[in-house]
Amino acid sequence: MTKPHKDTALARFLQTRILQLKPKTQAEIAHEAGFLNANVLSMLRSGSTKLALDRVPALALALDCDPARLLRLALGQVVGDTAANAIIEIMGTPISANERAWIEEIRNASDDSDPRITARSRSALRGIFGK
Amino acid sequence: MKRKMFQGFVVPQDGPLTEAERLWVDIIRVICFDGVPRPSLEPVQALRDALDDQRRLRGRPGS
Repeated sequence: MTKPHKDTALARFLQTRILQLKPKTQAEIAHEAGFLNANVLSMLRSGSTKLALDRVPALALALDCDPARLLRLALGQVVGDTAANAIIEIMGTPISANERAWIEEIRNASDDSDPRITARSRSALRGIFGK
Repeated sequence: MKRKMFQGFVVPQDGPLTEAERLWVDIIRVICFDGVPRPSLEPVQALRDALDDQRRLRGRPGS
């Protein structure tokens, strides 16, 4: 079987995420995402098929991952990375509810002074997120 | 103002981000490879400390 999407960021993400969710099975994830055929998830993971954009919200819920991130990855698969970047540049990057909440916190903490990100703040973020 | 939500997404009309905010989001995404967590008390306090430090440094002469 050909795997035209095996080198995409979305296929790589699925490989990692499905492993992280164990003992949850692929069949359970596929069912929660509303795929009638559980094999679809295997095909997405191996890159033999691409993720339809309208499946992103349900699959993000089933994978317990950031829907905005999954949308960006799916867009890259559907139209290619260059076109996806162009779309995001023109339409604005999709931002998740959690990302928006962090922006609100930054606005509040900085009295809406629109602080630049510095080497120091970048280092602080790494500490905050434990990376 | 109540935010417009659609299955976990905030709709783009919910206020544009500034260039600096976009950079904050980009960096947070890179650091949080597995997805950005919801803000909670301890991380928010650490963020406030970091921004306070940044503000103090900016206020210093010659900075």
